[in-house]
Amino acid sequence: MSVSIADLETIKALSHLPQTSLEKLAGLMIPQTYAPGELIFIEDEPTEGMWFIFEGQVKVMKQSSLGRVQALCLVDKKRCFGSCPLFTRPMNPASAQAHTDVTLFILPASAVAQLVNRDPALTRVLLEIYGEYITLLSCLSEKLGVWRVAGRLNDALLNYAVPHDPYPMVRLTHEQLAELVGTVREVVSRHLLQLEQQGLILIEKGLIHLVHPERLDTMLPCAKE
Amino acid sequence: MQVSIDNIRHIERFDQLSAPTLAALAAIAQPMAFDRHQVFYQQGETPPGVYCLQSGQVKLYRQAGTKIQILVIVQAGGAFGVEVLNARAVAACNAEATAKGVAFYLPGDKLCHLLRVNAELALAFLGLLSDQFLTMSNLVHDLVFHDVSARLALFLLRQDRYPSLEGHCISRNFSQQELAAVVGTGREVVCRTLKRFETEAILRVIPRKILILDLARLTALANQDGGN
Repeated sequence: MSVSIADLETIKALSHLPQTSLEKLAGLMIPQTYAPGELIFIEDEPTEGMWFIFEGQVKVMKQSSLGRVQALCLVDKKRCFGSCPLFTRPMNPASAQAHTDVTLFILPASAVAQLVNRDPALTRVLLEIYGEYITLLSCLSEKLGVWRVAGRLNDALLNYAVPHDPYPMVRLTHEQLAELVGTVREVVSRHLLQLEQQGLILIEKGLIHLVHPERLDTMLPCAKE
Repeated sequence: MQVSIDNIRHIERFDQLSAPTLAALAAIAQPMAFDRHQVFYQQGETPPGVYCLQSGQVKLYRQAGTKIQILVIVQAGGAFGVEVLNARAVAACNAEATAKGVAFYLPGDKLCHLLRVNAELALAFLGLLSDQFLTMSNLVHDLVFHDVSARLALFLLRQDRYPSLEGHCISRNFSQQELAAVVGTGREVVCRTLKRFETEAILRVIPRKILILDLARLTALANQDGGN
């Protein structure tokens, strides 16, 4: 499989790039597929480049020296993830694992360096991407620092819901939710049961239907901006 | 009053810029003085540009109801407001001075124009963002894997220390409330943890200072991983 300009135009961050920039990128990107559970890169190993998701979903996670794992987020298709391979410490700040079947486009670190010096349009895209990363990490720090587990769980349900008839649907197990909000499966199950008793959600095996997402939203610790 | 090229060179990532790029920044830079508690911008607003700190101290924090989480304390030589520069998005945090000082400000529209035409400057700003990315990534790691004792020890170790007759000293230019907001806990927990450190002869809290009595123990506490 090779990467086409049409493929790149579907990636959110790259969609506004001029054709000439997309042509250069298409020639440099390397497509790669991963099976669910397969590791894409590992925390503290050298950064290989920038990663763009063409298909599938990727889990970004951190691991303590004692082996405890905390998922930071699930990144959807058409988004990018990874570190900045040009500066500071070119090591991966987290690990990434395929959450579903995944097709990625990899822009190797050497190509990033080469393009940034020659293509101001791409540099602007990188500034936007890193600005978004910092915003994401800022929000995550607030949630980890001052939110309670119940708030983090409600937030995860709202963030990972996909449109579905008649109710938005979350396709995550209790175990996966626990990993995302930094708690254990039993706490997740207890909280979800309470939400179900209040009529806010419906639980099926591996599926959660959000019957009243607007009420979950008002239960978040922050007023929505 | 104008901002000199020398002032600009003292900002992180700007020290290696060429003379013409420094001159281009100096041409748009606007000097400003600020007092303690001055708010530069608030969460949800679009900052008018990038602020570069020459002296003083600014905290960047997020607020959820009455609780706050300090993300970074920017010191002299640092810059903030960079993350929303190109997308003209809204700020993900509040920026408020914790000590008075002077800064210069680079207006967003003029700076964006410079970034479009000057690859060297764009690279410097990518470097600034990359540094912030790493700082934020470390904060997330600390919040996830370190307990309050370890996070408090880490914060104290990251402060500038100066020698005294009894040991290393840290200037206490932060309130216990601010310390709690940095560490990601309540004021009472910080107070209790500091008392425990005092009981265990790791440090002593004295007016406007913290005296570190046992640097090795404090370092060992900071290095505890996976305790949270």
